[in-house]
Amino acid sequence: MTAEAIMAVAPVQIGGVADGASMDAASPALTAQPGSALGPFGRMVSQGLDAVNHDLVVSQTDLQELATGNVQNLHQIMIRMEETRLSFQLFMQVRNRLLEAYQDIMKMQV
Amino acid sequence: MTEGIEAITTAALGLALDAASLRQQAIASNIANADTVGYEPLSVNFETQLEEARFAMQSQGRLDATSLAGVVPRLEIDRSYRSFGLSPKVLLDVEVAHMAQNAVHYQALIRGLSRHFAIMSSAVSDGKK
Amino acid sequence: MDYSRSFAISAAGMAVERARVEVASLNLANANTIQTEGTAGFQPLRVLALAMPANLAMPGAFANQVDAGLNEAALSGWNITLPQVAIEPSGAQPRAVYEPTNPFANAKGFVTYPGVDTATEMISMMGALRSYEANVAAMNTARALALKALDIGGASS
Repeated sequence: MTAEAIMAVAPVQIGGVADGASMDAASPALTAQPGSALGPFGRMVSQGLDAVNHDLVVSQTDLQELATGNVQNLHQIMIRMEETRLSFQLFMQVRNRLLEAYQDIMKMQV
Repeated sequence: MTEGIEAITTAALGLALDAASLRQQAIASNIANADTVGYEPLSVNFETQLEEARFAMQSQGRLDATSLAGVVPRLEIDRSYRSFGLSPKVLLDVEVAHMAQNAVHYQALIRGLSRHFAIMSSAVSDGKK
Repeated sequence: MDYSRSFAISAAGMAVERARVEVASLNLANANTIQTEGTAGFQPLRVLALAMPANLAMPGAFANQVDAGLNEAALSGWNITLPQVAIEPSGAQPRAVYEPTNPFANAKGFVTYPGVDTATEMISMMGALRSYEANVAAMNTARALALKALDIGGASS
């Protein structure tokens, strides 16, 4: 759901990323068309998306380990969860700004 | 939200919380019956049911949905005394230590679960409060 | 930090101190019992605390669960030893008191009492109390550390 939800609500087609991407959390690697329609900006955004997805998966597995009784590193789990939350919120803000910029452009009268 | 890794995490945390609250009841019963003659101490069987799941996790890196199936925390009589030929007796210090550890574990699970939901709710609400 | 192990370790220490207090109070209660001829009478006890590796200790010391929780990959080479309580007769010689009018006096007029030194028992009880408090402080500190770790990233949510 994590990155799928973002892609579902973000109509911005960043260099064809949204089309070819299968945002399955089980495969964190982005399956975008290899470089064809991605400009440098698109690659940057997709790398950021990869990183955020990876962080989210890591914090999920940490929580699963906590649930199964492996409590070796409680502070590590909490630190990683906080980092995940911050990186996710940062990504959401980036997406909001991009949306606003796109809408501003679309409002311009030709 | 009904598929994928979030559902497994939520289910696992829910089960662990069930086990922790059941454990609290077992410990309270043990403490209340500390001086009762013939009382056998209770414990909760949960983590041992997850042995396979833990091994699978170390190899695969994440929990498998099927390994959680059929895992139910249940009360059982504490048999560890019998293997040493001792008559069952409640040791108060040990029970209080159990209780403190269980309380911390419960709070850790609750905090983890609420952070997990907070991240998802911030995604659902587009990052606005 | 594995907080489950910290609690188990403190619990083992507390069990030892509790055993010490029980043995001291038992000795004090039986300090003035008369040892009649032909019977052994009361033997003063003492507590021996040995440091055992966790997997060999009795379940009463919680040590088996400590060992079960050890993750070998993370703790190779780190052996946890927990105190293991052994209670045995102290072998103190009985003391003889001259009481010729006592019905249990022997031919020479001496009555034998167990060799319990009241002052020693009182001091061992005080020492056990302080050690118990120290173990409780250790456990509370471990608990506070774990709870503070949960506060990383804001107190709630």
